[in-house]
Amino acid sequence: MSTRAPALLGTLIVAAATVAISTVLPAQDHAGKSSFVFVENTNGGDVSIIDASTLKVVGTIPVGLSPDDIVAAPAGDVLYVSRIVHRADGRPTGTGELVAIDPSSRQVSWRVGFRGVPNHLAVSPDGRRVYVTVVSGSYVDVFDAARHALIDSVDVGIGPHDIDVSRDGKTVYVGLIRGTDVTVFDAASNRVLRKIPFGANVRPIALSHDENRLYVQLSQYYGFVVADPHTGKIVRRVDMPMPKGAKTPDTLPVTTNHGIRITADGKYLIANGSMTDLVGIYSLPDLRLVATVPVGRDPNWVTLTPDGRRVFVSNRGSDDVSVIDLASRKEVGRVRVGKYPQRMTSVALAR
Amino acid sequence: MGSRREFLGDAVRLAAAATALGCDRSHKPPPLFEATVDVSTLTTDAASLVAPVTGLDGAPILIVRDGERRFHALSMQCTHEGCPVRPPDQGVITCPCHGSQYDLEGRVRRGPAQLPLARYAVEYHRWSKRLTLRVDS
Repeated sequence: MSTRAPALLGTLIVAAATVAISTVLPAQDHAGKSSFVFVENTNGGDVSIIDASTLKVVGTIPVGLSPDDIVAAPAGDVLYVSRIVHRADGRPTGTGELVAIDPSSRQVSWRVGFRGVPNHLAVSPDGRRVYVTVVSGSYVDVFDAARHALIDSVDVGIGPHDIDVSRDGKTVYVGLIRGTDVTVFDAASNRVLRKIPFGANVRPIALSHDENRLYVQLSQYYGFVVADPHTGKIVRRVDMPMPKGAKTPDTLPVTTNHGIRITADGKYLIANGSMTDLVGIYSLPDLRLVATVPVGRDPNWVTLTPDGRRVFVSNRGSDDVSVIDLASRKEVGRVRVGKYPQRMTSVALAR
Repeated sequence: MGSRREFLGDAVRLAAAATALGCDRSHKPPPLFEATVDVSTLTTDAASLVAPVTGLDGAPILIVRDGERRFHALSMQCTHEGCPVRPPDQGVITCPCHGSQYDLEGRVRRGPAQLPLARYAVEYHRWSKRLTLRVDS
């Protein structure tokens, strides 16, 4: 022990310094902009704006009850929110809304209604198309961002939920929460190319930057599954770690894990353990668990700042957002937001 | 009469529209929704069928037998986030999306749903074995 102590002490000093530096340094990109994280609060009907440097809420944008997802256009000039429209008695109407927000003015720019209950969103890399999954149906609605208009519906199978677009914008991946497949369609023709079976209801998905791996969370599975999206073969199943002393329950909740993201440099996969209130950080491509970070209650989504240094995790059970420093792999802050925070996105903006 | 309350928002809107159109208000207005469904195949308790009509909320209607002359007609739209629920299995109606569970009368057994499934008023015609579903205005 005594021979290891100085080395350990040195490591701790370095680690502490890393935390201190990362906490102090503002989250700014090369253009002098600052990062802001936008958090949709489903039961509050609004979007909280977190300054990623100060970790303070600097604004709130009302959008109406039950926003379900929020994504930023690649240029960072528009935020899109999908919203499940409810009646006065609290029941869903069976319709949805696509809401566009100007992140600089923090105002709603436009909104358009449509048939069906929406879930998640994705924007094409060129920003021209917005894809909305309609979970009550079997289709993905395709909107023209410039015209604010629904231009096509792609039949992908019952219950589309999460959605991801390849970096070249050519291929769209859609997980089916009421089915067990990920449906892949061609973005140019909107024709289905293939279906990848997972054997359980599909929850959040993350496509690797090179499009050679698809990471998938499933209902009632405490872990995630890795598939080759070209062959459709499952290549690995990764069980998430349980907290010390905790035992895996006999019956897992439906939403066991929710939220999975790959860092911008492609070196790490961040996966929420929603039923255990922790986040697993895995190195890529070897999928080695490099850290387990306790967070707030029922973590639901993961987003990263544009500079890639910080991971934001929404804790919908405790109405707050955990902030993890990726270098030290520690929680460096927790930000109180609105009611039932779920999905998030981040953009770099001029102050 | 829970169903009347549940669809009250729509009723108010439709009634307002009818008034605006100058409809005769001296008579009872027609129901907002009415359909008759053959339930002769529901021969055991907890048996169910999906009615061949779309409900007032745009969702399918689940009809469940809960006794020899007792039936429930429920919207299949989960009150949590609007996913269609599954027909009952061992007396439990489950939403496949987030696992909300309801009993045969549409009451919440397990969340995340907070509200019961919307219900239609029903009238059973024992000789024809048909069920009339209705939402009054």
